[in-house]
Formats: sequence, structure tokens, C-alpha cells
Amino acid sequence: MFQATGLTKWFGQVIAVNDLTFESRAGIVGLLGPNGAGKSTLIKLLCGQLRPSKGEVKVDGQPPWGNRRLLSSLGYCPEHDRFYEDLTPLHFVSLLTRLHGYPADQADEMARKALELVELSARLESPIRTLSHGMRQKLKVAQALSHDPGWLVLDEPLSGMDPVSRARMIRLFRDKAGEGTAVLVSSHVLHELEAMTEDILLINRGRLLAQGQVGAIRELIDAHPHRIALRADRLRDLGRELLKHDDVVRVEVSGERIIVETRSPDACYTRIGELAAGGDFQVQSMLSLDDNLEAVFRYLVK
Amino acid sequence: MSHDDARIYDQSYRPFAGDLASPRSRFLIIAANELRQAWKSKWFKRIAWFSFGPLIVFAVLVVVAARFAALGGQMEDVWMPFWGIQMFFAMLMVFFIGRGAVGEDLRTGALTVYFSRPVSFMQYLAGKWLAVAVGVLGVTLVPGVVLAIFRWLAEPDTGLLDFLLWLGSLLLISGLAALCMGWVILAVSALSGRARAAGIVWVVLFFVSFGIGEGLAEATGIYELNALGFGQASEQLARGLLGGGGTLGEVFWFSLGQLGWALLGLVVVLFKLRRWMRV
Repeated sequence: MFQATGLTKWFGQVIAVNDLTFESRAGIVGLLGPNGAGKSTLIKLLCGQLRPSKGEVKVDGQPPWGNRRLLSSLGYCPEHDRFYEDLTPLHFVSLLTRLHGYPADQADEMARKALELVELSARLESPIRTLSHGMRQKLKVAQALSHDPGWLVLDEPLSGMDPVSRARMIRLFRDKAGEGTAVLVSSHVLHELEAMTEDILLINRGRLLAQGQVGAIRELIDAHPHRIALRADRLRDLGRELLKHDDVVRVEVSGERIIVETRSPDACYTRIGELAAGGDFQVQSMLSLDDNLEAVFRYLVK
Repeated sequence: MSHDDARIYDQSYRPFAGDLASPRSRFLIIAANELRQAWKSKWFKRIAWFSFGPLIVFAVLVVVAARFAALGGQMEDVWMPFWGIQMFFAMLMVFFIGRGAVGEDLRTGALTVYFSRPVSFMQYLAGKWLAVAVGVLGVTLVPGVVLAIFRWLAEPDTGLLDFLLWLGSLLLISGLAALCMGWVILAVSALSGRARAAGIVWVVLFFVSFGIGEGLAEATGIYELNALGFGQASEQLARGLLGGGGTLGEVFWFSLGQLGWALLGLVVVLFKLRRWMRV
């Protein structure tokens, strides 16, 4: 459904998406990553709003850039509010539905149905400026759903919603996926995505860190040794001391520092801290060499 | 009554099975939405109705002038003052329709939503421009044509050919005004971002360009420099083409002035929206 090969996007000197390769299956795919990871850029690339600097992206086998036929069956919910404040939800959704070519009365009917799905029927005629943040989120989802899209791309759709609305939205997305709509949902909150799908793409700093079932990724991360660079006196003695513990799989002396590989970074950091505090070693600096992984690790285990 | 006579009808939502509108006509939806938004303003409605006031006054003047002419007198041609007033109304209409047209979309990021639909960049621009053009034509071409018909009926000496020439001239002058004012306001809107700021800049630009054009023309004695003011240029075109008081050269320069403003506006809009041009 959604496919990327070597997908890269630069903004001047900044690389937002870096050599991403993935292929998603039908159903719901969660796009997970901390703020600034490149999720929104990837989504814009998938929605044809940005052209890849390198590599290619495809939705249902077709590149989305400049592909208006593909856009006809794409529902996009942007991250930020993109609204005309004086319009009513009904007018707003109806207007956007009409841009797909539907006659005015049909677009109105489709807009009403979409607004009903997101439980905004009571505010059809209220100006958008009077809607709460949660309602505006629902409105964004409604405009993405109104034209019965075959592909649904939702950028942080649950942000700002109350727990009851979140649960209803999650059920709605699952229903849509059950009806055959391919859904890609981004979030920086893992448990939100876990409630929707087991299938996630994990990105950080524009790179794909992991893809697959959440449980399997957790296991992989647990098994993946984490590297810590240390500057201290008596490097070899420190290395020997650390190697006494089962989680430390390797110690390498490299110039004036040692690199420790551990499967339990939190325990290892604590241990190094204790050794330094106890006066056994003078630790001058401690640096994680796997920042990306550490961020994700903390993310997944918190 | 048997069960065979009873029916329970499905009232639930049914997917649309009819024909979709042509993708080429979707700019009309954008234009209609812009006009609908402007129409919500009570001041816009008032100005739209008031813009037909001068038509009544000038229609009376045409009758008076026809009677006066029959008595051997001569009155100055009505077209230039009429057009001057209508250009003022056009400026106000443009203020209401166009001030937030592109800028608000850029500021709020609405372009992201627009271009996630099967709408091309050119359709978007055409829709935005058309809304402004309809406003301009509504207060220039429409009352102009009505006045031309009235004058043709009131003046026994005016033949069908004169009438048709008036119509052609009205089309050209109002078309150029719509082209020029449409692109200039879209450029101002794109540069200003906020509708209120764009509105103020638009009004200032209208009068300042008018003043500069007229001032330079007077200071240098080069009459064609009036073309620098886009309102003034249109007025002078009306004098030249409708009033019969201008040379072909003047008509050329005043048309060029308007086209120059339109081109400048278009270039600015394209520059501000360059990121979306290939969408």
C-alpha cells in the first residue's frame, strides 16, 4: 500500500528524511517517532505535497507527487489546524469534498455523514473559531474521511482529544481499516498507536529505526547492545570491572577511552555512576554512542 | 393489509454513483467559495448595491444630455466620470474579495489541505483570480453595459455600430481592470499574510499609484505616465475608447500600464507560492 525506496528529503542543509526504505501492508500502520523525527515530512511525501530529493515513494504502486488521480482517493489529516475560522464545519468539509468533483448536494450529504462519524453533528453550523481543540481535531479527521478515501494518512490525529474521544476515534480508524481502507497514523505516543495497531514504523532523525510488530521490536531492542564511550583513569581496570556483569557483552579500549557494549543501558549507567561516586575510578566523561536507539529505547520502555 | 404490502426502506448512507464534475472546472468551486465568503460581509453587500447608484445618476444625465443636445447644446461625455466612480467601487470590491485570498491560505497553511485534493496549482490560482475578477466586472462591466444600452436607446443619433463599439471597449477596459486588479491584490495578499494588512496595503497602493502617476504626468508633461496608477490607467482608457478623446498611442500605453501591473502581480504570486507550483 505505502512503499518507499531510498526515500530522502533535504531542506537546504537539513536532511529531514534519510534513505528510508519500507513497505507497509493493508490495515493500520503506525508511524512512531519523537517530535522532529521526520514523521510529518514523510507524510507529506506520501501525500504528494513534497517531492523526494532522492529515492521514490509510492502509494498503491503510484508516485503521489503531482498525481491528482491518486489524490482523489487519498484522505489526509494534517498535523496543524488548517482552517478558515469563519466557515462552519459543514461548509468547510463540504467545500473540500466538492473539490473531488461531487455535486454540491451530494458533497453536503457526505460532509454531514463524515461529521456525524466524528460526532460533530451538533456543531454543523457553528463557526470553526468557536470549536475546542478536540473538536477541531475531529473536524480535521472528518475532512479526511468525507470523500470515502481508499488511503487515509493521519498526522497526529488524536492530539488534544479527551480520552473518550480518543477511544472513539481509534475505533473509527479500526473500522475504516476493517472496511479495506489503508490507514497510516502518526504519533509520538506509543500507547496511542498500540491501541490501533501492532504494525509500526519507527523513525528517528529521519531514519527508519525499526519496522514490524511492536512486541518484536521491543525484543529486538532489548537484544541490541547499547554502546557507551567512557573517558576515565585506569581504563583497563574499569573495563575489567564492567565485564564482571552479565549485561556487558564487550569492552574495547580505543585510544584514551573505552567503549562498553551493554544490553541493559540503564543498569550500566547506574553502575558506572556508582563506581565513580565510590572513588574507585575517576570518570571524566560518559557518552552514549547510540543516541537514536537510546531515545527509542526510552520511548518504548517508559 | 398483508405483509406483502409492507416495505421498510433503507435510509442509510449510500455511496455516490453519479458522475463527478470535470477536474478542469474545480477552480469554479474555489472562486464561488471566495465570493460566498465576501458576501457574508454586510459592507460588501452594501457596496455591491451602492455601486449601481451612479448608474441611475448617469442614466438621468444621459437623458438630460440627449434633450440638451436636441436643443442644440453639448454636454461633456459621461463615460470618463462614470468609469472613475466605478473604479472606486471596483477597488472596494477587490478589497473585500481579495485581501485574504492567498495570504490567509499561506498563513494558516490551508494550501496543504487544498493540495491534498485533486486540485492543481493553476486551478487554485485561477479560482482565486476569478473571484476577484467577478467582483471587478460586476461593478464595471455590468453597469457599463446597462448604461450603454440606456444611452443607445436615449440618443437617436447613436447607431448600432457605435453601440457595439461601446460594448467591445467596455469588455476590453473592464477585462484589463479585472486582470490588473486581480493579480495585484493576490500579490498584496500573498506578501502581507494577514487579510487586514493586505486590505490596508491595497487601498494605499491604489491611491499612491494614482497620485504618483498623475504627479509624474503633470511634472514631466508626459501624459502617458498616468498609466502608473492602475485606477487612473483604466479611467484614461475609458476616456480614450468610450469618450473618443484619446489617441491610439495613449490607449496602447494605458493598456500596457495595466498589463504591466498584472504581470508584476502574477510574478509576485508565483514567487510566493513557488513551493506549490509543481503540485
